[in-house]
Amino acid sequence: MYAWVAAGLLASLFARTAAAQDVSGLEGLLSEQIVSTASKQAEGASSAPALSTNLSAEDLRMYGIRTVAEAVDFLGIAVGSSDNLSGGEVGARGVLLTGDKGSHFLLLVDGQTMNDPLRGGTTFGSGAGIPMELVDHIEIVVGPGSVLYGSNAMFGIVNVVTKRAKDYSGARLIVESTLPISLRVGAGAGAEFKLLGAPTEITTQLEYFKQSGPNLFFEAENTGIDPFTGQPGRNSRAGAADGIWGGQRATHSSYVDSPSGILRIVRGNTELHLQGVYYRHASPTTTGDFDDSAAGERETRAIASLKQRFVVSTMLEVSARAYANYYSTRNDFIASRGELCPFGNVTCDYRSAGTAHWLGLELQSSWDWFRDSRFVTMAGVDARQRGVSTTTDAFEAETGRSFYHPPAGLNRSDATLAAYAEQTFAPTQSAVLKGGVRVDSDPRFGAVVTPRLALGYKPWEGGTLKVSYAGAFRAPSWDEANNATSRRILADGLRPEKVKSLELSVNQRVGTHRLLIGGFYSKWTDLVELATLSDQETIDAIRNGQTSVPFTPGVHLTQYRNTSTVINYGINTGVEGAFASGHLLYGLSITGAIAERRSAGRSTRLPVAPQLFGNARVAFVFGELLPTVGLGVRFIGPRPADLSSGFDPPAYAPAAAELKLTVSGRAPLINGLSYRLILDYNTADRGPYVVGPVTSSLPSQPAPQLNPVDRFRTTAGLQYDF
Amino acid sequence: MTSNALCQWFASVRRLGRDPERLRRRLTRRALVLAAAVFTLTSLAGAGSVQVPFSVQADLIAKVASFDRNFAARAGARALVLVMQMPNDAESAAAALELKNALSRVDLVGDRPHEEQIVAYSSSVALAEMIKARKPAIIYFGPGFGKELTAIRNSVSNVSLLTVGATPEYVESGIVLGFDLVSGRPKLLINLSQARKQQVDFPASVLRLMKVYP
Repeated sequence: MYAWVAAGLLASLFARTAAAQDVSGLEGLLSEQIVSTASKQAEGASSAPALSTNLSAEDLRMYGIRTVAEAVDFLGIAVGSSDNLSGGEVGARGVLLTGDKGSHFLLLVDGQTMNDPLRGGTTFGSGAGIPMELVDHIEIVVGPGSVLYGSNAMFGIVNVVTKRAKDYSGARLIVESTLPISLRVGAGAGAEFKLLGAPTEITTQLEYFKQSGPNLFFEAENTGIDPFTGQPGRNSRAGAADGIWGGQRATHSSYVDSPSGILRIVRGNTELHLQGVYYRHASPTTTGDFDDSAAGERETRAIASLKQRFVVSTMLEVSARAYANYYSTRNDFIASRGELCPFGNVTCDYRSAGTAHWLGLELQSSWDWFRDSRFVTMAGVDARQRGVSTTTDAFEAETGRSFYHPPAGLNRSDATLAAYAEQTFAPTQSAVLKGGVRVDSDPRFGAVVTPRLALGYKPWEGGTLKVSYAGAFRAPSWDEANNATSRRILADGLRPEKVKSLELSVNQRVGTHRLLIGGFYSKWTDLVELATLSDQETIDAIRNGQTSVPFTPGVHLTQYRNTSTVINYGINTGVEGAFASGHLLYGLSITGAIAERRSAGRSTRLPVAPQLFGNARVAFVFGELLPTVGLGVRFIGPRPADLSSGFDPPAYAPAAAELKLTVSGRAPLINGLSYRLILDYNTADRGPYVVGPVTSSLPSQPAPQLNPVDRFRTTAGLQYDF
Repeated sequence: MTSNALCQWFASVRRLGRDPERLRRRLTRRALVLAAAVFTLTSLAGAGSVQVPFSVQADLIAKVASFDRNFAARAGARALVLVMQMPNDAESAAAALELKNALSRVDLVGDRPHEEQIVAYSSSVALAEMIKARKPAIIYFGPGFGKELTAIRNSVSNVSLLTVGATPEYVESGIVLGFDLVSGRPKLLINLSQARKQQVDFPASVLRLMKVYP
């Protein structure tokens, strides 16, 4: 009987589709994604000079998306994250650089940069402090994007655009829990009014996210004999010196604590953006003690910006953006093995902390020389003052006494200047040529020049051919280039990382359906990696005074170096659309990519990065009163684990599929109440990260342990709109 | 000279630092002047933002007009599109020019050959007379018309005419058709009662795609 009802429902919906066939052209125009990140001006996604996709608020809700990382995984094209149980990492087109803390993707919120200059990183997970209810859409630009944005946009740019007050009017309360480990509570509001005669709007959301768990089981690792004590190593403060790390559930070291808030005020052409987030999280996979709640990281970000746009004449438009940002971080590492501690101590705590501020002014102008939008020049400058400070210390856990006089740390400030220009030339109705260049001046390095050249051509109805050449760079962070810790010596002459990329793609629109096929080739050079010094280099470093901390023989120091080149090429495809008058929505994307790291004459596959990955989704919108059902699947091919070269055979993470089934809608009987129920399931039980202290083969531990995966979770959420 | 100026500035700041009350008054005064300047500037420029690119607006106007059951009769052999511009408003002038250029690249508007002209707005009375004389099929209002919308609505009621507004707020105030950007996708808005008054008649299949203001 249910089958007959379902068949009848489908038949009626498809009949409606047939009746409405004549409006498919209009539906197609209305489904065109409008993007503004790739060119810093609004344009159709198919015309943008890079692969740009737009993830709508409706999609985020329908497919149970809770973080930016989930959005790129389940809805993005050629982009994917990887959960390292310590904030996560994001890559694109088959390249993922482990340990980069998100520094190769530029994350913007309403155009404001989230990446900090101290470490260059940012987070895309629950610590990003981006409430999904307030998000209007997320724009993802894949491929080098430094031509307009400068450093960090090597994988691309993720720009989170928050809602205008008209789409967020009134007040609302939100409660969501991933049972039973997390709770998110939030309150949001939006209002429109007149202020001194001008239309004004305000939107805001405050929220608090707390997570405790999951209590994942870590396989036992035998760290063997501690070279200092000559006895089996100790891997917790209270535990026995038996050489065993793990072998039980971690019940203390999986937590997140994150309050955050966003406020946006728009009056006429003036926009004020304020954002703050505190993010405290555990590091359960650390090489130090097992399951110690004190090991972790805390970060604070505060962002303020004021934007103003002026239309001077039909030829000239100018805009100004003043910004002031602050970032602080503190990292705690807990060890109870003598080999990890200085001066022959058996237990020690390491703490590194840092702050950064950056404030500046960006001026941008757009010149429509012939007042017909065919020959437009955009030019801008961005002047920035920034400062960083760091401290590092190692102390005795019980007394808090420092083992040694801590190194001075960083306390530096400087000014940077960047200038960019992009020329748009539309010689015919169907062709657009864009060429741009940006020069970034950083006192720590020489000037970096970043070009982009893109041609878009519409050869037939609904079709767009795009070919582009673009570059990007990442200035090594202050921490990488100018800082040293007790176990890491100062880098020597670090250069900016660079990437150059050539892309070709075809977009085709047929009614509400869109198809994308593209190919790319990119070359990454001077990649910065934390290199382990050889025995001789370590001895030399100690002898030359590059570290004042004597360690037990056998412990190696590290240093950031420009070590490798990556060759990356592949194809990406995507299709999305709607049937049954928009009641049945679907999407599919697949990326196949090769990424080879070339270093010291050797060519190896990049760890953690999959060669085949993508996502698929389907949603059925039954109507206003009935629930919407969305099913998203993210699939990742097998991939080598990080640090896999230290083991024979190298460790591989298995292929995985993550499924997300979401039911959402308005609650019956209670006006203003809506709900969302999400079921998450992962087919794999292991991820691609080597966890614990054994990071290369030991006689006592020849095989690595990969990070466990939380396989099944249920999330329930309620929202009440007043 | 610059270093001298800087030295003087630092000296004055140090003097002020010894007199916190004077410093507070001075900072407050400067903040107020700055705020007043910003608000003045934004009042001059702030006229409602256009979010949907003009090229997309032009494509949508051209396409949606073909579904208006009265468009063919209204337009005749060649559809006349008037693009209104508010005098002494640079943003309005720029928007009018951009839309005109975008429309000129579209082959047909409402399945008709078309001609578009920019017209400077003077008053609702003059607008009504111009409509009577020139019989446009579509009139487009760019930014800058916020305070004139009621008068415009009254002057075009009971005239067969498709009025189109650049910003979403216009539709609530009586412009028949408008554009909005929701979740990064364009959205059509329609003021249905005003559409009836202006003999704009879309089928239900098209209204289904729009946000309808009754």
